[in-house]
Amino acid sequence: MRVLKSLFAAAVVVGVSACPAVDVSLPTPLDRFYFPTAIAHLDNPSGPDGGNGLLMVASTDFDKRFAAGSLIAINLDTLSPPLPPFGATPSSPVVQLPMIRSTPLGPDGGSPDAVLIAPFAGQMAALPLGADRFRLFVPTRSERQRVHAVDLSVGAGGAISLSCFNSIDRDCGVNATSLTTFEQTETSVPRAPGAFGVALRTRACSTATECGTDPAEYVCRQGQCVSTPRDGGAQEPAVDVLVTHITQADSPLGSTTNPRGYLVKLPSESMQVKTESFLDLGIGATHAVAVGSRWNFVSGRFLNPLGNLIRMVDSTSGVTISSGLESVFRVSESRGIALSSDERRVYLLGRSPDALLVASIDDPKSETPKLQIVRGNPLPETPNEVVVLARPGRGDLLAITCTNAGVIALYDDDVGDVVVQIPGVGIQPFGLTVDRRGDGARLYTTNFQDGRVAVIDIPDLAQPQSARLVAHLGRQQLCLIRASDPSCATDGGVAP
Amino acid sequence: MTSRLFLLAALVFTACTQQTTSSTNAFIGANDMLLVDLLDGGVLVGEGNEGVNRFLFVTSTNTNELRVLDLQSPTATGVLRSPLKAPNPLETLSIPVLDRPTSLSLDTRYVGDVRRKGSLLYVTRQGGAEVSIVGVELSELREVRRVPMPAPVTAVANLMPDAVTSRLWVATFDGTNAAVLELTMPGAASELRKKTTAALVSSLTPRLQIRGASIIAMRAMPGLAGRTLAGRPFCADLSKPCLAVSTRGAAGAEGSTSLVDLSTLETAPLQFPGPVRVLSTSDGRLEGTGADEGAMAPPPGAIVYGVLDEEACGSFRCGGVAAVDTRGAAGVDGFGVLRADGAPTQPLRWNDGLVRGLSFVAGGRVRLATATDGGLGAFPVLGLMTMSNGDVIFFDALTMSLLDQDTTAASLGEGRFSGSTTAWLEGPTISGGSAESAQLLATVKDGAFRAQTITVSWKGELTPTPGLTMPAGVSTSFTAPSIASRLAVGDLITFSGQGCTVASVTAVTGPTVQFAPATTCAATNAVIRAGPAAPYVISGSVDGFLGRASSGSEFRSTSAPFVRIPGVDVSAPGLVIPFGTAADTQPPATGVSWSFELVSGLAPLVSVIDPGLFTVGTTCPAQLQLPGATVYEPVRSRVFTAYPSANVVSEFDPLKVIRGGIGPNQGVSCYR
Repeated sequence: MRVLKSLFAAAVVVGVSACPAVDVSLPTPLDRFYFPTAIAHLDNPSGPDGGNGLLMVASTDFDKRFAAGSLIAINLDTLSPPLPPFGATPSSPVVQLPMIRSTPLGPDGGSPDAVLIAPFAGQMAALPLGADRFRLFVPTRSERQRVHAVDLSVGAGGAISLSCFNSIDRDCGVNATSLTTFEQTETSVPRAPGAFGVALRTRACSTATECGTDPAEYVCRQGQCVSTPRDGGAQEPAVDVLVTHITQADSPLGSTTNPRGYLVKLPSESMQVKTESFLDLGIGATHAVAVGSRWNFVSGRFLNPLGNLIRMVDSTSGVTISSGLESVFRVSESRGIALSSDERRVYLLGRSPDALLVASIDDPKSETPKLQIVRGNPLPETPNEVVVLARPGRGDLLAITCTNAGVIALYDDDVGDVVVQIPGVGIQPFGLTVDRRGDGARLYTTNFQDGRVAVIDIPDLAQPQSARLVAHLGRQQLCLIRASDPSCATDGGVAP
Repeated sequence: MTSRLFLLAALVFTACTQQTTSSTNAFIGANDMLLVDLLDGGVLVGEGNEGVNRFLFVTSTNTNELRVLDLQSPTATGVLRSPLKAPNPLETLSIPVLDRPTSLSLDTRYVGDVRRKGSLLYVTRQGGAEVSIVGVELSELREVRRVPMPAPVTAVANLMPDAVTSRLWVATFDGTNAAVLELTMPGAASELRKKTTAALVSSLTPRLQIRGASIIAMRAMPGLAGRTLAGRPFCADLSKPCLAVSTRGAAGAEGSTSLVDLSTLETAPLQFPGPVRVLSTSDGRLEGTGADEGAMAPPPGAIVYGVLDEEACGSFRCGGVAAVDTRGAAGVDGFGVLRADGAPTQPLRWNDGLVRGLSFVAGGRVRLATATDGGLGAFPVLGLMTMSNGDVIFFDALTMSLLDQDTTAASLGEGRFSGSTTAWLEGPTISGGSAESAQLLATVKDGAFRAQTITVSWKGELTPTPGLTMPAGVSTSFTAPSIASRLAVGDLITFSGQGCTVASVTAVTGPTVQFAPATTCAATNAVIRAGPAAPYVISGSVDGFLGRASSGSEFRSTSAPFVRIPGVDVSAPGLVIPFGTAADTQPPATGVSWSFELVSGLAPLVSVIDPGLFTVGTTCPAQLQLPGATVYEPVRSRVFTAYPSANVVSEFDPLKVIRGGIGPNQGVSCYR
């Protein structure tokens, strides 16, 4: 009953926030994370040599406590106290950095380095536009299934600013690309409910005519499309933004018939959605996508009785091939997916049971690449995201968030097993990004349930056993979401 | 409002995890399990074999504990087995151990050929630098000690030197080197408790170190009388342990398996046909159980079984289970593959899939359609493996043969040409007639092959698709250990890369292939086709490369039979194809092929628990699809299999099991 009550209360918030005339939601805080998911690390063009770079964190506003979600840019070199030096022996307890801002918020609670986005962010991808500019893409499972594009620029003095690509508003949900644009048609499709995963694919070309409908707006430079806006704006790479969605689309809407999943392909330079943006992959929702030299590898959500674990989509023709892996290794569905550094293997996180599947790819550039499972290892509970850490002369090292287990698992492809489970990162690690540091790496993971970002150092990738938690960023949210949480008795829930 | 409530609820459920595990489930993460005797004070409890294999210890990985399924026979009123209760009978017994346990190993010793189980159970997890030691006696059923290790554990093995002492070997890997540490301790939990953790850590003794590789599997076994290496006794003392060790390197492409005499640290290679990722051995016989055939089982540790690492070739086609015979004298290359009926056995494979669980039982019995005694077949050592595609496969572990249920013989189907028939007069000999009706004058031996398409290609490819990756700067030679043995002088090499030309093989020395003319085109890939020495390449769609032949010769497949059929000579070639000698025909175009279907006449005892056979409301859920650890329990004649996909342990009756789907009629029950 208590659960129902809280759901009911939350539903009231949902209902009210859906009515624009009366907005009683709390203003979205831009000095903390709140149910963070998507995360991306960027090198800071204005940062010091060997600096920590920039961190982009999307908060989902998962219980809709606030008016919206947020996307916050953090200059990791201006934190106070500072992040521990990379590779340093961690303190005990590890460093807590509750203050993620180095400059105060404005009188209206806003800041140039943060924008509002729709709730329920999924993953994030970052496209370098120039020396000091990036465009960030964040799909959300919000109303209208908005996919945000947010531009980041770094000023000469190191000032960071974020701006919405489709709006001059500070709320990037305004005019954001919607993946339900065609919902009100007779068939209700194409549409992509549950927008979640995102990846970027370079748009290859031999002439500008292959880059877009208006060749005057493009040049083909070194085999890649470059956008040349007619308004005199700066040239920028034109790539395809590939978006997945974790709920199948039915047709007509609400009929639960004709279910299907899509891979949505949006142009980074316009984010304009058309019916042909939706590549119909057949039955089964999609979760994440890994971009290969020719093929896009798309992981799939649950289907009864077996999921469509990996579908391969030709980047040029759109031809889709089902790998059929589910009949060889019978896990029910898949989550994160990544390609090996030589594209000869695909790594897939499976569910029911929790497992890492490793499949060989016989010829990743052929007309019909063949995937064959060569390994299946159990993983700690509910694996979600995976990043590949290439090691010259050695097999890949994989970092995997295992959400319910509360650990980051490191899989060593040379050993063929998980070699480290990093505990204590926080509650429900979810998103994951990496900052490569020579032979080592610093990982950042969003803790969905405690509201922080955990920082993990691997000083030497050849020695993954050296991995350790070194810091937490952000204020813990447990006291905020549960007034009875023990952390409320200390310092307002800030302490770990 | 109601719809918004549902909307939010849906968001909540889709955003986090879709795992639906009830708190009433016992086995949340059934990644490993093993049989444990009912012991009290170290003494077996119960009359006859009642106490033997009484408990099934199962990991509950996601709750950081072990659970215990009581295998006491169901009552006459049909009460099913259930997880062991805690002292508070309203609760299921929980044995907290290290976080996220995934692997179990039980103290074992041998008295003669008979296995006796000890009182300590060792629990590890992937990447964990610690070992939980659990007491399994009735008075214990709890963790006794948790011993930290200097580096993450990759494998463990154990063998009790006597009835009151336990000995554990722990393989660790620090990112560069592997080490094996030995820990000797009291065999009873009550005595072990008197030792501090610090004392146990200080008694860890390094026994082996391996540089640049990890140890992926390890198995301890007693010495065996008469075993020799280079004419000297080797692992021959029954009272002293030997350790089988499998290493892994280069993402599974490399690895070797050796037997180590821990008394002398001498090693002898075990000649598995590829890297191994799991090691096992046949168990000693269990007194008073199973068929008489159990008495014919080889002594414990005599046969070492290995699950071949599929990563070695990037496909399940090089996986499966292989066996090495460690009896008698080791050759110069170590102990060889197990032989049966005078011929070497070959790895057991069937459908696509990876081996996940492996179990051996002396004197095991299963139902066989071909058996003459009313349908039951008994084996000195019966093997059982579970596969990632859901298959449950029984096999004869001494002949390494699947159990065929089909009495028809293998045969060849009609052939198909990809080119002109007249160009094939010097190719594989056919019966004549039109291309559509032509038959290959070839013979196939029953049990030699699985059903597949056999292809004979003129100047066919000798390299696997898409060819061999060439090392940077390749000029006049390269190494190709996986295919060098099939190459001959004159074979044609087509390099990939701008400006590359075709070269010919000039010499093959071991794994090294030399060619001319030299290439300077920065080739990245090479495809090799058969040259004039033997231009015909014979391959199977399942088995891959089978061999090559020339005009006027007779191709004879020398590989061991896939399934041994009683009465069929194992030494006879599995496939014989005569080739014509007509000299007045033009050779066909490169790559032209002739293919035909090979009908295997095989129907091995391959089963799958089919959730579709169960009624609604059954205890067996639909997610019963990915089997893992499995054991054939001979006292109660039941097979137990863990399904981590459903957090379930299933049970079925091997004497009722049939080929294909098995369900309630085969005594399937499920425990959560």
